[in-house]
This record gives sequence, structure tokens and C-alpha cells, in this order.
Amino acid sequence: MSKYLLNRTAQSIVVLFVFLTLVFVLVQAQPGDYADVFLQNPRLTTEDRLELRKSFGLDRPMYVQYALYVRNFVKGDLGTSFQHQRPVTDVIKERLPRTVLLFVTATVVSFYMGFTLGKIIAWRRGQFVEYASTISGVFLFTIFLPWLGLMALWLFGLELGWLPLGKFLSPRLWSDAPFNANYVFHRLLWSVFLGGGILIAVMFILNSRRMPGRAAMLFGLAGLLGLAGWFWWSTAGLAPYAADILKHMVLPVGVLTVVSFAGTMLLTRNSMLELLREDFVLAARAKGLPEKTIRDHHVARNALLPVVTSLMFSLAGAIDGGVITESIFSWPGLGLTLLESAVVGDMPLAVGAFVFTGVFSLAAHVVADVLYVFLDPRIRYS
Amino acid sequence: MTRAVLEIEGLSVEYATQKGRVHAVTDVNLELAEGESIGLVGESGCGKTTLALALMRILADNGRIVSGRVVLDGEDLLQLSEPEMAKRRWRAISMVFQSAMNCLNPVHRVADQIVEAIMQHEDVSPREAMDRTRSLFEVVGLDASLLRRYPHEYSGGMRQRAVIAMALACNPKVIIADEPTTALDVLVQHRILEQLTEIQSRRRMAMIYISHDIAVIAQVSKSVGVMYAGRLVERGPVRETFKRPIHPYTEALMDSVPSVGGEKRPLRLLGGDPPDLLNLPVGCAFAARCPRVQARCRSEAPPIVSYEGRWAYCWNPVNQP
Amino acid sequence: MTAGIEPRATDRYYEIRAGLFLRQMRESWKLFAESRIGLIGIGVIVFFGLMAVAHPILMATVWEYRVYHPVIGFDGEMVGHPTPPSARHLLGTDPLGRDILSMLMHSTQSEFLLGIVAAIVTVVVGTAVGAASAYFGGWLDSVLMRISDLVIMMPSLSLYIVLGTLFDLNFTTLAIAIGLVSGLGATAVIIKSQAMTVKVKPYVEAARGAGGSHFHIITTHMIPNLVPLAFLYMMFTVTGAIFSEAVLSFFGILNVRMSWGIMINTAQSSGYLGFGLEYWWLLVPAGLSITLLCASFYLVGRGLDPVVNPRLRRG
Repeated sequence: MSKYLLNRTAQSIVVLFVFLTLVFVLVQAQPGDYADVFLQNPRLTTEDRLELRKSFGLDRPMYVQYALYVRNFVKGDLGTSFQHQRPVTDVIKERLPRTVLLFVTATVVSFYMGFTLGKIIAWRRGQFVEYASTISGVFLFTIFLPWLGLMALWLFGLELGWLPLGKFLSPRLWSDAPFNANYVFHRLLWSVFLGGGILIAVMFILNSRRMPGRAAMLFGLAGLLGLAGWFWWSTAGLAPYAADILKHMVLPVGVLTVVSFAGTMLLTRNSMLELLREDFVLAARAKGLPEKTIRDHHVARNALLPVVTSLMFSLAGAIDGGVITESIFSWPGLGLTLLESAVVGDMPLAVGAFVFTGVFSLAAHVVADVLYVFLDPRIRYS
Repeated sequence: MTRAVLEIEGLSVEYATQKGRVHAVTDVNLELAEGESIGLVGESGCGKTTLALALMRILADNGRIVSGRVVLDGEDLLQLSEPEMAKRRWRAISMVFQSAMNCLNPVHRVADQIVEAIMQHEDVSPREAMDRTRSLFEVVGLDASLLRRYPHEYSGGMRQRAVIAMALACNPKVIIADEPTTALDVLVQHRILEQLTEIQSRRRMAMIYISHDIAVIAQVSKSVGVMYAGRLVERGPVRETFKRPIHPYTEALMDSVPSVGGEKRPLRLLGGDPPDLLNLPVGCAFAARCPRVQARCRSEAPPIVSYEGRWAYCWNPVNQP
Repeated sequence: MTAGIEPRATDRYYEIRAGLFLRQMRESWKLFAESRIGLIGIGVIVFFGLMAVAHPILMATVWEYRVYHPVIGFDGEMVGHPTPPSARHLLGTDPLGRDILSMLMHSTQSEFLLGIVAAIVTVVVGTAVGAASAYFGGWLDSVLMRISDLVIMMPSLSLYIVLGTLFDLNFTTLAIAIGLVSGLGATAVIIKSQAMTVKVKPYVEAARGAGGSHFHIITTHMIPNLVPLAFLYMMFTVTGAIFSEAVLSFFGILNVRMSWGIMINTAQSSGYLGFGLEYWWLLVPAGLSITLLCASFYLVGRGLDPVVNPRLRRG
């Protein structure tokens, strides 16, 4: 297994370099270059222009520029944003946690929902169920995301007034807060990852040991973690602020989930139906196991493998969905940064945000890969 | 006279397909005494596996038991509700499947799959169940280090042994082995069969051993049942039946196998195909291919011919009493 | 002159090829027609195709240029644009006084163009990369597969956004970009694995033994076996292309004059979406068209699956 992981990591690094090269090529290929933005000023003389170009390093040969580019990337220097007059990396560092929180939550929720629904639907066979789920599934994932987002915003935000209209916090609540929003975000992220990680690890350890009431134990543990988290948050005084952020997250996560769970659901259903023909399902039935155990512990556990694989393929699309959602709900994360800077023409920030998006996607793929290794014993022990 | 642990009376099974109803098993009568080992032999598609699945009531969705009784230890399994039947499965009657490769779930450890079966039917702690599994592994000749491994880490022979261990886990009264060694090489096959027969006789389990290989049946079972086109056409002690078969089909089976030790004789292979199970012929199902066919074979169902504890359904039996 | 469906011994070579091709088309169509969803997909596509074709006809005959032109039209005779659907404007007008139906139909042409160009580029690139990768192997394979890995992993929309900043994107350039991304990504990988199975077929070996050049083998033997699969994935490419263009137009990244995405963009930037469904004709026709056309190509792709993958055929 470790050989496999090392292999994948090495591959990822290669891909990262190819990606950086691609971005470099694209930036070089555009008509004109960085300096042109500064050169809008007609009062600059020709010498000034040349000086400017030299200071940007634009007069050096291509391979030198490339080397500088790579070196800067490794150092974490992606240039300075025109709009914000700050280093690009600073702007991105500020906004990245918000995207990560949104993305992780949406992916987990939509996967869980899609998988569970698909599992249940596969077990209830019948023509009607199959038709209905196929049609609604196709409809849901071809729905135009911006349209859905806008509708949801209007319905829940304006008409019903249940949920906030955008951004990720209500300024009034935060105006005299002792904390900075990013602080809260970081805490939130850590809690989610820690709590989730513990749950998953425990689930794994319990996986093969057949223990009665295993599901109950897991839920109990989740509840306990939730309680502990809530207690800690309240004492730290962070609770109302965290709750505010979570309230703002409901709509974006909801919209993203609606669009993406259908694919998972249909794939889960199809995988499970195919697996029903396997002999080990017959053997499980012969052993007199209850239906639910056969469905969940045997069939669904195997169906998990192709579904996670396909999840890896859809990660890039999910990130794109995140970009759209961030823009609709004005959620100031990486995606919105990319879009705004693109529209405005802030090239360093746009390219920088894109580079980061690529790196984020790569990291997500590596995580999914590792996850898959843990799920399939044939790879873990071979 | 040992009492019968399993009595099958008039069992008929059908599959509903697009083309109509397939009569996979028709009117099978079989009695099995405690600890008795019977081999079920017949060509592919003759209904052996369907019979096995029907006994455990794990037929596919389109399969239906249309009539008959299956009395195990005094109660008719076919009359039980599904939850009650689930309690009996594995506990009273278990099965060693044909393709051991596929009947173990690839994502769970082998030992856990056996523990699962034990804990489903008995009130023991996980530790006790694992201890039981460990001793089961010993019984079938598997090393204890394999307990924590996954199916893909086992060889073919190991997997078969594991599946046998799994079938033994709840000490069933009846164990059905459906061609368990078909995919294995001869040496491994021989070893496993030896072990299986030894376990079976020691634990006094009744065994139904399904195979199309009569050599294996001769080695493993005391008695044999011959199936053709969904019917049980002959039944008797294995040596007698093979030496002096009653039913022409049994004779054809024997003739199609070369004998290593006996005299050299030409192989006589049976021509034609088994009948279409969608439209079973009136009269004897074997009439179309029978070398001893008579006029009445085609029109009337053959009567039972029995002697010396053997029987067969035939109008024109090969060896009369 | 044509050989009909069954070839005869006296037909000429190309006639036999044509006849076989026609027969295969007939069989494929029969298989395809078995799936209801495929037919629904085709139906919707035909409907939109008719819309696209009908627009210039309508503009030339029934509709007045000044009023009904999708980009610069303006209806001065009605007040209070955007107006709801009426006899004059079947789907109402937008905030700039333009007829919605006309805009919808006109955009259909561009959407089809976009889809077709993107699809062709995908097929060409995907087949070329997949076939070359499978056939030549070695370092070429490694390089191409790494590029495919990258493309699969990269969020395409974000890429198009950046491209929109660096370059000037219109329908054609966007279509080519989408086609490239699509073709180099999952399509190439799938075609490559199919090509690998073709590569080891006996007739390929025979062709090589007979002295066929690489080019000949690839074009005559491998490509015809890969095209059906590429055709299948082409359908999914069109779905993605239409969707991507709509989103990009909605965000204002593209340099196009009129498309469904632009229609929604106009509605939003003029602030009419805050009223929810009150001004539904600004939002629903365009959004629905996007969804329907995307879904229809997807359904056609699903319908084609049993034709291309014999394993999936029913019965």
C-alpha cells in the first residue's frame, strides 16, 4: 500500500508541474502582457515603459522567466493584486478557508445523501421507482445551477425570509465582535476535520468487528462530539458567531447538494443492482442474515468502491459548482475571487486564484485517492 | 433404522421467464437419514442447484416453489414465514457454494464473515465467536494467521476450505455442497474431499453433495441420486447403482466415463440434448434419447421400480431385480 | 447503382462498403430506438433544431426587423418593458424591449454551433490522442496520460474564466477550448483503453504483418472501431459545452452578443430577479431551454450506450 501511495504522490507532483507550466504558457500566450495594464497611462514615455517592463522581468528570455515563475511559486509569491494592492497570496490565504469549509461540507452532505438514497432505492425494486428516480435524477443534474441558486435565494431569502441573502455573516452581529471572521473560520474548519476524522477512524476500527448496535454507537459518538464541540464553542464565546456562519452556509450548501447528489444516487443505485447478482449476496442470504445487514454491510459496502471512484472524477466539476455558488450567494471565497478578478481584469489575482484552484483540486484528488485505498482491501493488502 | 433428518416430498420448482415457465425441478422425492451422505449427479441444467437453493429457500426473485414439502427435523420448511426460515438457515441447513471465489465478500475479512454467521444464530460474544472460528479453521486445515486476511489473499484451495468452515460454523444438521471442488486442481480437490468426508462423518451431518463428476461422488458419498430434466430418476447405494444401474440414463452416465482399472471398452456417448424445460414432454423425460425406449415411455409416466433399498422410475429398466 | 442493403457478388467495392454501412446504421437505429429516453432526447433536439431553422424564416417574413431583432430590436409601441407575454410577443419582452421568443430562437443557432464545434474538436482530439497513446505506447503514452490526468483534475469552468481574462472569447474560440479540454480529458483515456483492446485484435496484427504503415493501420483499422465510442462521449461534451457557455455568459465573461446565458444575465443585472417569479418570462424560457437541450443530449448519449457497448444491450 505504501508503494501505491508514494507512486500517487510522485504522480501528483508531476501533474502539479505540468499544471504550472500550462498556466505559464497561457499567460505568455495572451495578446500583450502584464505591463500593458500599467501602460494605460498615456503620459508615460517610451523610456518609462521600457523601465517598467524591465522591472517586471518581461525583457528576459522565456526560460528565465519560467525559472523565476517556478521559484516564485515555491516561495509563495504570486504577484500583487491590482485591485487590492496586496500580495496575491495574502488575498487568497484570507479567502481560502471559506471555500474549503463550503466545499467540504457540500461534498460530504451530497455524497452521504446520494449514497443513502441510492442504497434505499436499489433495495426497493419496481418499475415505477426506477423510472421516477432516473427521470428526477437526470433533471436534477442538468438543472441550470445559477437559475436554481437564484430561485432558492429568492424563495428562502426574500419571500420567506428564513435565510440570509448572501455573504457569510451579518455585519450587525459582528460589528463589535472580539474575533476576526477568519479566526472563527479556522476554528470551524479544525473542528469539522477533527470531529470528522475521529468519526471516520472509529468507524473504520469498528468496521470489521461485528458488534451489535454498532450504528447506535457511532451515532452516540457523533452526538457526544457535537455536544463537546458546542460546549467548547460556547465557553469560548464563539458560539453565536459560528452559528451565524453556519446559517449563511445553509443555502449555498443546499443548492450545491441538490445539484450533485442525484449523480451519486443514480450511480449507487446502478452499482448495487449490478452487485445483487454476485454470489456473496446469495451466500449472505443463505446465512440467514437480515435484509438490512445484507444491503448495508455487504452490498452497499462494495458499491462504495465504484461510487468513490466516480466521485474522484466529479471533484473538478464540484469545484466549478462551488465557483458558481459562491458568486450567486456572494460567498467571498476562492471562487468568487477568481470570478471577480477575471471580470475586472486583475490579472495577477485571477491567475493566482486559478493556480490555487488547481492546487486545491489536486489536493482533493490525493485525499480521495488515499480514501479509496482504505476502502478497498485489495489495494491495501496486495 | 436411522430416522430421516430430511424428507423431501413432491418438490417442484419453476422459474418465470420471458419465454414462459421453466420447470426446473419436478416432483422430487428424497429421504436423507441422519449422517447420511448422498451425491446428486446429473448434467448441467438438470436442476441440482435449483433443488439446493429451493431447500434453503434462497431462489432468485423469479423462482417459485410450486408444490411439495421439505421436512427438516420434523417441521416443514416451506410452511415457515420468512423470518422463521431465516432463523433456520445456516443453523439447521447450510451450503457450500459452487464458486468459493465469489461467495466471500471481498471487502471484509474472511474470519469476520464466519463470525457474522455465528453471531447471527447464537448468543455468544464476539470473542467466543472468533475462538470458534479459529477452531473451525483448524478443522479444515487452515492456518490461524489467515484469520485476519481478506479473500483475495487466499489461494483457491484455501478459499474453498474457508467456505467449508463457514458452512460448518453453526453445526447444521444438513449441509449441501454444490460442486465445491470444480475449480480446483486434482490434488487439492482430493485433499479437500477427504477432509470434508471426515468432518461430515465425525459430526454426523447429513450431506447432499452435488456434482456432475461421478468419480467424485463415488469417493465422497454413500448413496447417489441421479437427476435428469428436473426429476430424480434413480436412487441407491453408490457402488451398486454405478455397477448395476437401473435407469438407462444412469447406465449412459457410467458408459461415458472411461474406467481406469477395468477392462477396455468403447466409450458410448449419449446423443441428443436434454428436453426443453419450458415444455416438458408427456411421459418419460428421457424417452427421446433412451436406447431402451418403448412406445409407452413416450405416452405414460414411468412407474417406480424398487428393490434392495434402491429405486428408479422406468418402464424398461436396465437391471431388473 | 447502390448495392441496397445486402451486398451481391457483382457489386463494386465501394458499393459493398456503402451497403454494409447503411445496414449497420439501420441496426444501430433499431437498437437506439428501443430506449425511450434516447428517443425523447432526439425529439427535443429536433424541436430545438426546428426553432433554430425557423428563426431566419420568421425574421424574413412575419417579423418586422426593427421590432423583433434579437439584439437591437426594440418595440416602441408598448410601454413598460419588460412586458409579459402577449399576442404581439409570445414570450414577452426583456428590459431592453426585445422580443424574448426571437432571442430564444436566435440563440439556439449559436448553441448548436457551439455544441457541434466543441463535439467535433473533442472527437478529433480524443480519438487522435487515445489512438496514438495506445498504439505507440512508451514515453508518448506517459506524456499524454499525464496531460489527461491534469485535464481531468482541473476545474474546467475556472479555466474558461481565466481564459476569458487573458483572451477574447467568442463562440468559436470557446467551442474550440471546450473541445480541447473535453477531448484531452476523460474521452482520451476511455478511447485509449478501447484502442488497447483493438490493438491486439488479430486483424491488426495481420495488417502489420502484411506491411501496413502505422498511419494506415491507425486510420483504416483502429479509428473506425473507436468512432462509435467517441460519438457517444461527444453527446456528453455537448451537454457540458452548452452548460459552460450559459454560465460564462451569465457571468459576463464571454464576448458574445446574444445567448441564453446572456438573457439571464440581462435579467439579473437589470434587477428583475429580486421579484422572484413575477417576471418569470425573463428567466424561465432561457433557463428551461438550457436545461432541456443539455438534458436531451445527455439522454441521446444514454440511448446510444447499448448501441456502442454490446454488453449493455437488453435481452
